[in-house]
Amino acid sequence: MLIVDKYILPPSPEHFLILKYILILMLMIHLPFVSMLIGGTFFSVVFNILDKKKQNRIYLNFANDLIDTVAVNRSVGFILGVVPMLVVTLIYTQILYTVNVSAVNFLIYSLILLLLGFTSLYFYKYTFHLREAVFGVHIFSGILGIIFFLAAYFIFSISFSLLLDPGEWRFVKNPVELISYWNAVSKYLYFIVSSLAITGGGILFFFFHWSERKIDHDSEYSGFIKNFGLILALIFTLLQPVLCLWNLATLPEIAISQEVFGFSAIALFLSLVISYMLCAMLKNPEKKLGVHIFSLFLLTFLITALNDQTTFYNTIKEHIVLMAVRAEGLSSELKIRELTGAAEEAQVNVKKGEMVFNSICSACHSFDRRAVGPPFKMVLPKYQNKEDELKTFVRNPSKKNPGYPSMPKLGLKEDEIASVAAYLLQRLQTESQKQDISK
Amino acid sequence: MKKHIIPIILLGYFGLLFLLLIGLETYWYLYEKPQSQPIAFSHQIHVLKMTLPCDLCHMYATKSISAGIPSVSKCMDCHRAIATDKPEIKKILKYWQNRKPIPWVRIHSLPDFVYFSHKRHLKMGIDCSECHGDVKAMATIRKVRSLKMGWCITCHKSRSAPTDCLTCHK
Amino acid sequence: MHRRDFLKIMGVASSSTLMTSCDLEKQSEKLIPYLLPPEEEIIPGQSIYYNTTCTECPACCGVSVKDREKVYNNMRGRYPVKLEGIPGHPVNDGTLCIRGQASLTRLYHPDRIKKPKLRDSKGNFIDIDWSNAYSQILDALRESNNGGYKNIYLSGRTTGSLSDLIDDFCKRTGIERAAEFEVYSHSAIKEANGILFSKREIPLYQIDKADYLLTIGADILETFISPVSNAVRLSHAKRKSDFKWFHIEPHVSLTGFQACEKFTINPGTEVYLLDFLLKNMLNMKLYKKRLPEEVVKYIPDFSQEEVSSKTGLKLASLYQIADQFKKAKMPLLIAGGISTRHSYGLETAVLTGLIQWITGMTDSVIDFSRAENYSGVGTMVQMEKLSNRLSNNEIGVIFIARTDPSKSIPVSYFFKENIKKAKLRIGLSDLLTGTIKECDIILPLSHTFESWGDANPRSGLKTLIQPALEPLFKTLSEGDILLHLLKGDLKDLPFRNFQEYLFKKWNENYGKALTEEFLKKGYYEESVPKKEIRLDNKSAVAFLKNIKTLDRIAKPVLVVTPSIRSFDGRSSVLPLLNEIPDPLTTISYGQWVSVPPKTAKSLMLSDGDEVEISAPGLSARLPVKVQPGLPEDTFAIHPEMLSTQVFQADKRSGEGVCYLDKIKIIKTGASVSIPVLSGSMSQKGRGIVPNPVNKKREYDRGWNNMYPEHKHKDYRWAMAVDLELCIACSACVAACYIENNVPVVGKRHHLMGLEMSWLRVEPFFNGHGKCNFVLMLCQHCDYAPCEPVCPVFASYHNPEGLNIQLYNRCVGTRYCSNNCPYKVRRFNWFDSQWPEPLDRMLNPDISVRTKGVMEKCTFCVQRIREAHDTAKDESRKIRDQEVVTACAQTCPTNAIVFGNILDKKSQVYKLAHSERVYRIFEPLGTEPSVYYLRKKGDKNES
Repeated sequence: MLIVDKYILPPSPEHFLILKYILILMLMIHLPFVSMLIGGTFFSVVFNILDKKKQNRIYLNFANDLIDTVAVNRSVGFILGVVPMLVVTLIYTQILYTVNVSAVNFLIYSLILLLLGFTSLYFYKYTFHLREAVFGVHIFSGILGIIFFLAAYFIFSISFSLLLDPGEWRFVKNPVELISYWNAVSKYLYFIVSSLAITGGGILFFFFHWSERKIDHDSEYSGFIKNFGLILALIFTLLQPVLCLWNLATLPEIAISQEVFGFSAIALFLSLVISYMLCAMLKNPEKKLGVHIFSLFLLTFLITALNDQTTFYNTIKEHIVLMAVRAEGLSSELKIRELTGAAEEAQVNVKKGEMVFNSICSACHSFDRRAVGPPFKMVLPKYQNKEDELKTFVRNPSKKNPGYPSMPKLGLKEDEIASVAAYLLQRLQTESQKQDISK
Repeated sequence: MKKHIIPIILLGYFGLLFLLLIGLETYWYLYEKPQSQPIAFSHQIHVLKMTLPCDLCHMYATKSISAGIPSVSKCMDCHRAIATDKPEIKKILKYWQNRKPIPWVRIHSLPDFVYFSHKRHLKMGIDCSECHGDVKAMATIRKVRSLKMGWCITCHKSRSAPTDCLTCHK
Repeated sequence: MHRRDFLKIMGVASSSTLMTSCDLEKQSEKLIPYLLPPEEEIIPGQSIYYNTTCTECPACCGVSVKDREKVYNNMRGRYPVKLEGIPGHPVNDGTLCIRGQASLTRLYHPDRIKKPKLRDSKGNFIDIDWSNAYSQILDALRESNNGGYKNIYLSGRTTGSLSDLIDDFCKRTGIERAAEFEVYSHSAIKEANGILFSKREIPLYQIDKADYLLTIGADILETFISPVSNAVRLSHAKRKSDFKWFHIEPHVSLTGFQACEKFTINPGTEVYLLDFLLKNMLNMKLYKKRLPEEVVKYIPDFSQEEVSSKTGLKLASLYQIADQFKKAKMPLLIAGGISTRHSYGLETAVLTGLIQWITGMTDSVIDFSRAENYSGVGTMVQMEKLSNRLSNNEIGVIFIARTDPSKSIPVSYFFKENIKKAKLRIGLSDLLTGTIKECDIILPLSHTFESWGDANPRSGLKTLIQPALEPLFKTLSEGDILLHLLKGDLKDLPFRNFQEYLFKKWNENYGKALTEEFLKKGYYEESVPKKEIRLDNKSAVAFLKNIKTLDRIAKPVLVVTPSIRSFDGRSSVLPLLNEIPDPLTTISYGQWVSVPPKTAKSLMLSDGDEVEISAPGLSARLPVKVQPGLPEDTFAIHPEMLSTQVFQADKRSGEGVCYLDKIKIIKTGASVSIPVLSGSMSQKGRGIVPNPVNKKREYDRGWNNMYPEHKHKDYRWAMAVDLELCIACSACVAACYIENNVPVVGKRHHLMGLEMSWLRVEPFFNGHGKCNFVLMLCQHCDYAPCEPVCPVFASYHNPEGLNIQLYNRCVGTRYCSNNCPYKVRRFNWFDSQWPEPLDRMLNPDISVRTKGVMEKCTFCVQRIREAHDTAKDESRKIRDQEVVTACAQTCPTNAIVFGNILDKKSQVYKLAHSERVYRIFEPLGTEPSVYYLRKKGDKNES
């Protein structure tokens, strides 16, 4: 991570917010696409093989249409498949600036696997017309693609669930350790199930409502597809909420907040509506609900993405605060530079001293009043032109005055100590001068 | 009846799941949700802003099994003078005047059959944040580690600390 | 699936029901801070020790109270959780007895009086506040003074500054201070020493210096003067190779069984024996010249046959006893206890005194210069006088402080009735005991651990009493009460409370520096001038002249024997002492009368049969316990089990008589179930104490170990129990109970056979009137039978050789206890009860076991852990004797030694390799870590 750190600035709170929504957007466009991709490819390969066995035209057509539908073409695949993933990875590296967690490296692995997946997938797609000639290679490439995809998203989901449990960050070094990690498993299964569900929905949508691919309705082929899509969608929509709850139950304490339950409730409701529509369509195939169903599926994905991001942001609450402080620190350093004409950061200077004084010392000390600590004009004079003594005291305070609580050891940097000491003594002079004038 | 069978089944199924969801929420609400403290004490202000060290208040951490929480008089030491106008600070004053200790809600608690020594862990050079998270950044204290046995064991193993049951169980 | 997930699901189910019942009660653990930061040296989570004095019996042992800070009703406080003796203390040297250990339960006794009480017109008590009580008392005093009545202040044995304050108080308020009341006043000994040496004192018996100890009736290990001190000294003596100890008594006592030889004598005939011994010695020149002729010729002259027939001792044994005197360089004769508590007690004591004189014991082993401080303690005769004065309506106000005479003086005095005749009765006590119930105003006393003070057990020794916690209830110490009362009628009192009074006194007496040391050490011993002992011939002769021939105490006889658990009955109110069985009979709760086997046979009695004991002035129905070794027609009973424990008084010495002769015993036919905890009173040939011990025999385990051999790297904890030194006093048992939060379950459970003690003392009587006592605790076997049968690995062998029971893992199959050959595992059938405020006694270093969990001895693992902690801090290994288990720590004779057996230099290693060593049930091949060292005497027996 260190290399990355050099090039990334610590993000500020608003920065974090923006990132959050970009993330959601990215996942929003990415996940449905790849889900269908996985589901579609899977069934395409399955029917492809079935056809080889049973010599059934319908199967072959379906296999072919399916792969065409889901993997539209290389550019689309790249834009919807690879780019968002890349962005997501970058954003995480950005957010988790200075955090020692291997999840980000995992994301990079999964990105690589994803690329491999796509290549073999398109190989499968474009060898379809040569199917008879090179069947083995053709099918193999398809299967390989699926395997790559599954692997990629396994790593993706477990690294995400790892991000939700800072307790484990120190210990987990490679993805395999997380296989027994319940949250990871449930997340992954949740992903698979939803992808199969949306595949079903996709079939209903693209084959019956998509302008490019109108097929005559009363043909045997369409009936087959419709039923297949419906049943597929129904089964996995019914499974979806179970896994959603399981995932919820296995979430680490810190990740959970009221909203999380809200989102799950909505997701639950959506699946209820979807499954109802599916049932309705099963009862009379004339109904045309493909559009609704598919859009509802997309909505479910959005909700899930929102949910995941909320949990993630719950987890890194403290981290965000720290980042903010860090950002402030940088900006203040910049300010100092401006004020003190491009001086080195670590240089002693009164301006900085004043800032330190105002932010820290002033809480307990003031110049002429007794606060928690004694007034400076009482204690400072004994440090007159003994700056080092003053520094040593600030560095590591000792109880001097029985009338006051002992001063805590403050986590100040050397240069801060120096500057504050300088500032104080200088201030002392000015104050005393003022008094002389007033007399 | 026959035509309503499907919606009924669906509703039943989802109703069940919904009940489960509510159950989970209740569990979380009762046992895991960080509860409101009698005084809205902020570590963020004291540690992050004022850069006070942990052992200023938790003074026994290096000496004893329990880290110790500051006595009310300790709070008063500073808050006789600082921010005395703030409502939360006024609360401290009230407790102090009524000679009542502040009933903080315990966030990091271990079952009574567990022996845990702050001293031992700090002497092994383990940072507070390993178990308590970035407390300095917390506006309200919360539990960021499960503090469950599995977690303890992972860490003990990774540092090759003893894992005999008796190390922690009493 | 992880446990927590499972729990969560369970939680889901439960909470959904919660939801429906709309009861969202949040459970939140509170975190209570101090109000003010504690003193520098006090660190939360660590123990703090306060040196003070045990006041459970008059012996005044030094005890250091172990405090832990805890939170109760939202306040942080420090509460005592354990008592330990002060190391190097002149009386008890770091050890405590069973009563001392249990005295912590007196502090936390649920029935303690919490507020001052006043008897209202209807005769029941109402709570009042202190000021009210004071004014009432002062008015009453004034009234009775005007009315010309006498006022009395009666207390138990009181020493040190409190005694002075009471005197002062009485002087100022015109109260007459009555002689302090103790049942065991040892006044016969005092009287005898008065007659012989004109010193009415109880000397200090330096048992440790003796090489021949002859004890007649004195139960030195149970209640005699300072039992712990005696035990400590005895253990030093026993460590000498040539030490012999004979004990002679008319019944059986725990002490008796510990002696090398034990002889049974007819009750009341000790005089004959002593006369025999005396004459026997006068035949020796060396002794003869110590006694002038005129005295010698008045020594009563009994023929040895007469002696033998009267005492019931064989001539052989008579000579055996006598000859030991000749052999011994440093003999010591102690007659007391039961042998001086009859009508011839004084004769017994005087003859004893003479022997002590002529053998020169009085200059060597018997130290009058450090005499026990019994000067204030009165006699039965004085009590009789007091009772009479009460009946004559002479008494106006009577204070009764820290004593309960009504059960402890002859019924014929009618004290209980007469005391009602006083105008006002004021009781100062911590519990509502017999006499206190009769009072009109009851002032609740703080426990010693809640109050300041000092004690003066014997001349030259002062011990500190300091508070270890804030008073639990609205109670005050006696000193504070008196000072308040004084304030009532004179305002010029220079101190606000008793503490100031004491500090002023101490600073005056010792000066600043010494006071500091006194406060730190908890005691202060100053050198005392040697006292010259001279025999007062005249008074000796005068006494010897009129020793008439004695008529013996006619059998069947009932003997009230002092009890190691209840002392003179005062400690029987402590729950813990009822839970721990009496070491001789192993009966825990309830009452019984011990019956000799012969008599039992003739009367056809067996354990639990009820008998009616009747005699002039007494009638009681009690269940029977057949007590092996008890001589024929002698019935023994403990003080708390009768309406009175003293039947009459010896007019001359004022000693109470604890024998009741010519009693009738009738079997009522009824049967009472008594909790006898021991399974069997005999070994049944199991060789628990093998005899002779087959040393170092290599046993062949009939089986071979399926499991990998245990490896022990640095530590392997082991224990050695020296049965030669062990006196079966059960102090270890009490210590274990308190150290390990072992619950007190009560009589009901004991009757069902459910006992929870981790450590027990098992008596095994053999045919020839001997008894072996064995400490039984978890043996921490290397091949522990309990381990492989545990289905959940709750019982396992840890790297340091401990056999661990993990409470939070245990699921309560109880296979382990079925498979344990030593019967040391205890199962929690119920959740243990700790009635408020007893729960504050719980040791935070060890969890309280819940229902359904098996528990057992852990070798005080919490102490081992503590030692590990300090050792780690100093980055070194644990030193020998750095870990001391609770039982070993409190053992008065140091019979229990604990340590790391891998360390060749450790004490336990040495003991485990002595030639007396053996392990119980060795042939089973369990390889226990507890090593027993058999008695020296048993060596050549078969």
